[in-house]
Amino acid sequence: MQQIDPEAITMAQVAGLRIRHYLISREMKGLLPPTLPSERFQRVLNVACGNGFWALDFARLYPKKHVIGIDTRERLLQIAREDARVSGLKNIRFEHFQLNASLPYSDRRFDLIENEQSTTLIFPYMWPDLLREQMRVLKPGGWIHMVAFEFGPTSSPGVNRFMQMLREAYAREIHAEKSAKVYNSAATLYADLLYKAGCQHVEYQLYPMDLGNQYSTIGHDHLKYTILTYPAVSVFLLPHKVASAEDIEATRCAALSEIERMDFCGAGMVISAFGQKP
Amino acid sequence: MHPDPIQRWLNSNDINLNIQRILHRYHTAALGGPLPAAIPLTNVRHILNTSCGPGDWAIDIARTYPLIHVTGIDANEEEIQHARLNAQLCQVSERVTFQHMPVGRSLAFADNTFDLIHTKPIQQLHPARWPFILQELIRVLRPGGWLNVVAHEWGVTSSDALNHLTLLANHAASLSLYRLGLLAERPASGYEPGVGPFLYQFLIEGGLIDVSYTIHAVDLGAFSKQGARIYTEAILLFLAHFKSLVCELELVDEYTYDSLLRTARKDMLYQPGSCGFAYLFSAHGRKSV
Repeated sequence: MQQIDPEAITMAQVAGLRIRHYLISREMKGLLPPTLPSERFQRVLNVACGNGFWALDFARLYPKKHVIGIDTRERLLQIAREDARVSGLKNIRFEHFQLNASLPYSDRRFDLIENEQSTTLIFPYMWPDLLREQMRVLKPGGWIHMVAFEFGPTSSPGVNRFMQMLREAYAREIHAEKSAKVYNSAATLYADLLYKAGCQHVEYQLYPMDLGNQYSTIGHDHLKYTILTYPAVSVFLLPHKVASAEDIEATRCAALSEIERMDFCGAGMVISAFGQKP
Repeated sequence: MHPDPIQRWLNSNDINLNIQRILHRYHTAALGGPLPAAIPLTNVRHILNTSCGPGDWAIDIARTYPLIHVTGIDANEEEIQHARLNAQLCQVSERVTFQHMPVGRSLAFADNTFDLIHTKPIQQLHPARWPFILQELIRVLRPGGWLNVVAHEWGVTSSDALNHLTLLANHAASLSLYRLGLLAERPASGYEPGVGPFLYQFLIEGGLIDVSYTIHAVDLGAFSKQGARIYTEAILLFLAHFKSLVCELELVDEYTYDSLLRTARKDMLYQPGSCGFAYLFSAHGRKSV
């Protein structure tokens, strides 16, 4: 994971994360897949919780359950703690952790581990180690849930090109070869990763999402904030040399004006995968 | 050809037709029905179905609504023959007629003929040619009648090989349009969306009112989901058809393409965690009175 300078986290990014969380939970019609036994989860861990929207919502919904949110970015954790304090929540805690270190918890401690990612910078090759640690701290019979968002085709050439740049950078990152063009989304690998980590009853659900200007603004806002908060991914786009800084900026500007067209249309997909520790 | 239509049907081994029929079934399930719920069928007597292929959509409609007549047209003569046979076997041939007629040119129908038009884009047509096609469809639609267009767009899957194949097929399709002089600029090697996300814009620009669209997921998780298994097999056969074009354009050699097909098959059908999806865009609008 490329370390982002904590100071570089802008309020636009925080707003973007909030929209992302609302979008995902709206599409899933809840915080968790409906088939999971939510009432039975007493201790819950939210990995890469960001500014803690998922964890805070869960703590509000179930005041008797205990939630811990962890993230590598101290600045976001500060925002999360402040939110918890203002909301008067006593059943929630936010802790700092290092991505490449083991989780600071004893074995078989949690009933549920939630991975509603607040970052796209966890790459498929990092997951096996992360999931091994998650399986260790999970109780037998406990569940892991992973959810992510994927951008699809749109009617804006600027957006399509911007997403293409992100995909190329992503492909180069995961294939470790400069010519790689083929994009493999992390989200479509979740089910496979859960199987390989030793989970049983692995399933996934798809929730198609309208990003257009038609009725809902939330999908549209999510797209807008993703493009707006580009400085966060610049640490990722630029090193992979998919395009020059000027080109990226021009594409971004074109995208931002094109998505404001009243006839703009685009699609995305929420992918939610889950599995149980035997 | 065998004189007995049923025998002819059983003898036919056209993979392309079978693929189309499988795609039709699965897409209709993903869409939640043959037409968007927003389109009322009261006062609909005559429907036009362009790019009808082997006629499944037209026949489905005729079987469900016994008062509706459907005209199906397609540029492929052979598919039209199969569609006619299909209608005979389903005993709806009195209300479903099929004609060999290419879209992309003027349609041989009078103005304001149809109460409803259902169509899907053709692979060989670039989005830029759609405004003309729509203009022609809107001409033959009666005032107040609905137009519905359904388009498929590739998504991503857990198989690197399948993602690579769809990228190659997508790129080969736009490159061949460029070679035919139908595209001004040489397409970049990245993924180029089809007409799907542009339908909303095109229907509005075509002068329709009450324009709206919905987006649907087509699940390709072939290991865990039975329907997806058959669909993914059909998708792989469809991609196998692209081999000659991709190799002719020298995007990859035949050996590489074959091994990608084998790997994609293994990844999607035999990996317990296989996952993937495609998008369906369904757009509709009404001709103003």
